[in-house]
Amino acid sequence: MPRSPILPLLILWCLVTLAFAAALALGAQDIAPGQVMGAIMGDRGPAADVVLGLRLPRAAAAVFVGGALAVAGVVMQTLARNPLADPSLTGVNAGAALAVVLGLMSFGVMPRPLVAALAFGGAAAAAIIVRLLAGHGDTTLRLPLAGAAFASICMSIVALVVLLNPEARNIYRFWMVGSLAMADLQGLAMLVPVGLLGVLCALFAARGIEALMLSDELGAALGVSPGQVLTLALLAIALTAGASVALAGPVGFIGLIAPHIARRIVGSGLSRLILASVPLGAILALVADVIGRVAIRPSELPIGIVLAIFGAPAFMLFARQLVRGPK
Amino acid sequence: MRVALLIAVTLALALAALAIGRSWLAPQAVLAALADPEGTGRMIWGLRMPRLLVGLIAGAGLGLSGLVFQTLLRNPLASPDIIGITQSAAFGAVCAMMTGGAVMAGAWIGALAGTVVIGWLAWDRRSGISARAAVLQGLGLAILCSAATEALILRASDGNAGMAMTWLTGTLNGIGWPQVQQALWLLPLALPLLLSGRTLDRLELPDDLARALGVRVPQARIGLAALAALLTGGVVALTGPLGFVALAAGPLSRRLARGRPSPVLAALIGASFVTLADILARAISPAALLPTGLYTALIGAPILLIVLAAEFRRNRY
Repeated sequence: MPRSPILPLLILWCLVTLAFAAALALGAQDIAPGQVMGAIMGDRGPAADVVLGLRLPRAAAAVFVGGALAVAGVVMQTLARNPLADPSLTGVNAGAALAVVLGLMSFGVMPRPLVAALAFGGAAAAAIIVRLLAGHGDTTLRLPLAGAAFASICMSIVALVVLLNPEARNIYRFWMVGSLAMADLQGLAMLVPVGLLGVLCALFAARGIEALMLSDELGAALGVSPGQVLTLALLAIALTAGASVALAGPVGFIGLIAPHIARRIVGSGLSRLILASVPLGAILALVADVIGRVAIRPSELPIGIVLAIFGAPAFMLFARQLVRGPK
Repeated sequence: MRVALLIAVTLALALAALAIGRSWLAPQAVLAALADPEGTGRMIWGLRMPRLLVGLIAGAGLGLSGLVFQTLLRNPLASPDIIGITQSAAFGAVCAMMTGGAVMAGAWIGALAGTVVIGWLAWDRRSGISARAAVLQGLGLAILCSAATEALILRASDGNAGMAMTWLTGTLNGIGWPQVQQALWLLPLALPLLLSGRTLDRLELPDDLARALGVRVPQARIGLAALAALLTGGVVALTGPLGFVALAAGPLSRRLARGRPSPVLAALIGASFVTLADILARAISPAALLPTGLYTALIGAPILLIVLAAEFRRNRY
């Protein structure tokens, strides 16, 4: 009988709280912990405005984006039997970004539900296309390669479309690397239910996915219909990745790293992996955002760049273990 | 014959590149202006000609180094822009720029370092350097170097995203005669590669066979890789990392040369590729002057997808 995951989960959520507090206190100007507490308790003043008006929405967005991307990553890695899968490496984020940018350029300002719907549609389409490109069999190397090719096509179109519109240039970096600088509470309130729905889909499909991964026959014997399970899994990926792209652009590597750490902490078992990946993704996003704000004060590095700098070596490490491993 | 045809294509594209821009000229007008550098030809000789020349040299250099890396690793995906060498050269160049050093030297160091790192990461005691591992590790190195480059630029320029973008996509904007002069320094690097067709052809054979045919295999591999890396670095120092030129030129040239590696064809294809992308850049958005690298990526990415699909079908990955 595997250990109960309750204790590790509790510890992880405590760490999320710590990182959250750090995200409120650190930034272009550091604010003392006492003042942060005061602001939360209802004090007024410039420090409180920064904490509540700017940093709180941003930290909340980081928790949400990190958790959602981590879930998308776990589901993708399990489905593809490929530890190198991640919504950005497989082109899913890029597909969502392309859909939203094309929408923005053709309709101008869009209502938020439409943005979310476009991101969702783009993510789903990208997931299907890349999966078809990679084909069946051993996708260890094919999936990241096909994903990189697909992502670079999407991103060059995004770049072209955005740059041809002089007014839209200020959002260029947001759509190229992802950033939390534009996250606000209204957007968060709209997208959190979408992301949560995705997480629920993932949890609901977890048992079915595991049975299918063992073998189709076993799945059938357990009363699992492959079509239903795959649809649910795709829904989970597209909802979580789409919601996070709609809020923060195509942020990478959380979906790659969080599941790897989660496996170390809670072992195998998809539902517990999902539950552990959410806080881990949140911690990664919070820490990366804080590093981005502190590293080159007074200007800041977008979270996407910080994550790429730390995530790319992690990818190389995982890839090395895979290529070297038993063949 | 094929070479003559490609030279004709390149010349035609070059003529078009001289004709197209903020003001369009008829081909006869271009030729007339070329003969009159002081009067009507001032714009062409002063602005469009250096841009064209650097574009041609950059494209040829990238095409050459792409073919060399692809041949050495026996894999059409293993071009310097996929395995991270272009990006590490760009990182080196930007580092040099920030510290006030010579940009070209920085790019050279970056390119050589990237090559060594990838070779080391993809090394396996049993089977030597594996192309699969090189491609996979290179994917990571490329992302890492691009992110690090962007971080450096944002730090130095107080968040000036426009500069970062230009340096990450590659552009021919702002090219003048001084850059042409620098580009000419690259010719000594390109010349041995242009003449290396026979060696490349033999290096594709199993190593012992190549040795029997008189190729000193390890020396030839290291020498060719170093030259190709330096050439990539030199081009990156001039124009930034023009994406996918190196990747696309190799497979296209092989198709024309019946599967054989042909450096001359690869150089010509690379040169016409960059010229075509630059024509597009100036024809589609003459006012915005978007970086040429955007268009090379736009044309090249579908070619990458086609190469990938063919590789997957052959079950090479």
